[in-house]
Amino acid sequence: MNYKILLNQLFEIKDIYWAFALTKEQRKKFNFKNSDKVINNIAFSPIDKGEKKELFNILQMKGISSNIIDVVFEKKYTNFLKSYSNQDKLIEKYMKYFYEWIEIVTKEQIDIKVINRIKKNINTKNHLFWFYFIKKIYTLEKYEESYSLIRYVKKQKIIDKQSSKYEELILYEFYSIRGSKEYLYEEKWQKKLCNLSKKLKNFEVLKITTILECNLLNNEKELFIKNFKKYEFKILNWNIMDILNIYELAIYMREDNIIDEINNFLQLKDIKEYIGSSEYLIYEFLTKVSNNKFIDENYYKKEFEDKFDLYHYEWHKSKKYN
Amino acid sequence: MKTVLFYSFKGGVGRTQSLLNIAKYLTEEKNKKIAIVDFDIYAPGLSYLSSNKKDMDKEYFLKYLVNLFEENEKKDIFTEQIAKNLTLIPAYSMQNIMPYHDLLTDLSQFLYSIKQSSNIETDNLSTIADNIFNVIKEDISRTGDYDYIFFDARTGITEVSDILFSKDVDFKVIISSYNNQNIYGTNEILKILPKSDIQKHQILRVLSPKPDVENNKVEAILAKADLVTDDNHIRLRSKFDWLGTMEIPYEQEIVLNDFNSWDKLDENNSYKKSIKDIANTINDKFNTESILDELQNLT
Repeated sequence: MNYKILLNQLFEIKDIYWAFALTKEQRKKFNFKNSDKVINNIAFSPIDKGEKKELFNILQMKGISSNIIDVVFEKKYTNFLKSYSNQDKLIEKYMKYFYEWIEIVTKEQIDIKVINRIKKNINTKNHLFWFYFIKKIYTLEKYEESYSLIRYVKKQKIIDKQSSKYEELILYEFYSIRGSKEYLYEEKWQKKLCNLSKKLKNFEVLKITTILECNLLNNEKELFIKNFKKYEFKILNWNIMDILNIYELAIYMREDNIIDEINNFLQLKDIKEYIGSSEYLIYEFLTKVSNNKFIDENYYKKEFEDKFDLYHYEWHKSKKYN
Repeated sequence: MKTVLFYSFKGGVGRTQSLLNIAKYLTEEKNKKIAIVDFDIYAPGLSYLSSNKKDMDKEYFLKYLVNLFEENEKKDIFTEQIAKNLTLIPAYSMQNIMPYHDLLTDLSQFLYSIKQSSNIETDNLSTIADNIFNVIKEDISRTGDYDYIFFDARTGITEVSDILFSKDVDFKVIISSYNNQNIYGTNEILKILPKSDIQKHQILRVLSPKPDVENNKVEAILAKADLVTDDNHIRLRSKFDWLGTMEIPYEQEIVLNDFNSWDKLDENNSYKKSIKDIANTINDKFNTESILDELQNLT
């Protein structure tokens, strides 16, 4: 067992080279004392990142017998394949090691250029490889990179629309677009986002929130009211954070009846019991916006940390003053 | 010795059986020595496996906890070997409910004050909950030579679970069933866990039992549990050393809740395979042989 067999077995990758994510110039900077086969065996092995990094440095200073490497790593590859019976989980687990190798070799600089080289140099149409690679990039909030990969996978028709993974891929595409925030200001992205949300059958909160957000961005007040009425009984059953997101949209839509109605929902959910929590702080902030009260933006930015984004608020301000 | 928490927001999701079967697999096939602790003190399950033959000079775990909080002199904790390499620490005798009930009443007073102060940092690195957990761990470790201590926690948002959610518990298996109530509830628990940059909580999410319904719906629920369905969840995910979400299928034999159910299952049984996958995830996390040491020995 070695890297070739493992990568072929897991992903139908028949030919791979340790420097697949690098440019020619970057490759030249590495001066290994061992053959590419040895480097490949280490690069694609399921071992701890710290140890792989250290080994990678050692191999640039001195050679290690390729026979010894073969023996030691054969055991690692064999044990890894036996560790999970569930193929999906095995692949997801392996993707961690695969990604860590890219981090090591690129010195933690994984950007869109690296992703483009990966698209070019990894020759497989195995849908699980691409799905879990995208998932890894997406969960690290590298949205530009995940979006580029999703477009590639869709263009190449790698993941079948009937596949159970397809809807999740659409979800990743949705958030990859949303993550850049450009959709608030550019119609092209807005349309893409609104269309994608229609394809999400199993994510009710996201779907309804996006429908209302699209109405807001397109300044469709009547549709906003109509859609809110259509989904209000569902919204009433959501958790407080999801209702607060709708509250924010209604405030920027300047639709007083709906603002009052959502306020009632929040009272029913005992919003006052949340005093001291981030939920209450968000409620307090949004209510101030709604009532045109003074807002100490720096204070709220600091308090919200990563719990609430002000990008809708920034968008609202830009509209208000233009 | 590593400590592993098994927690579920709601009951009836197969938490105790999963703990037991993971322990059985690791003791039988990986030769690990494991203590399983019934920390589900208000609704004990593992304690029913006890033969109730307690030594006079030892005390049940519940009595030990009361003595610990009352700052009385503590006796050794009662343990019982129930299979090769597998030690049970029951909460109390299940044949003797009356004193059990009284002890719980005593304990409840302390749990309230712990709840009030569990997250207060006693120094830069530890909270009161961390300190209590470490005393309990140390006292259990004195009862035997274990590779792992598995804690079966009580459900819900509880005081006892605060101790077991200490950052010093090495690994946390969080089990929920496939419904929104369970998944949202568990996500809320994850949200209130304090973020620790020094030592991230290692979390493995488990869904059980997997329903036999349309695939896309199951995938969507799995995605929600895996915290990938919105940006807030992705940020929540990054708070932890997140080891992913695994699934356990329904198995009639296991639902019967028999200690020997595991042994009756065929090696190709999908329930058995999924339990082994979870057990291997835990075990692999703590049993990685150093490749550098191996190479050094050979060269």
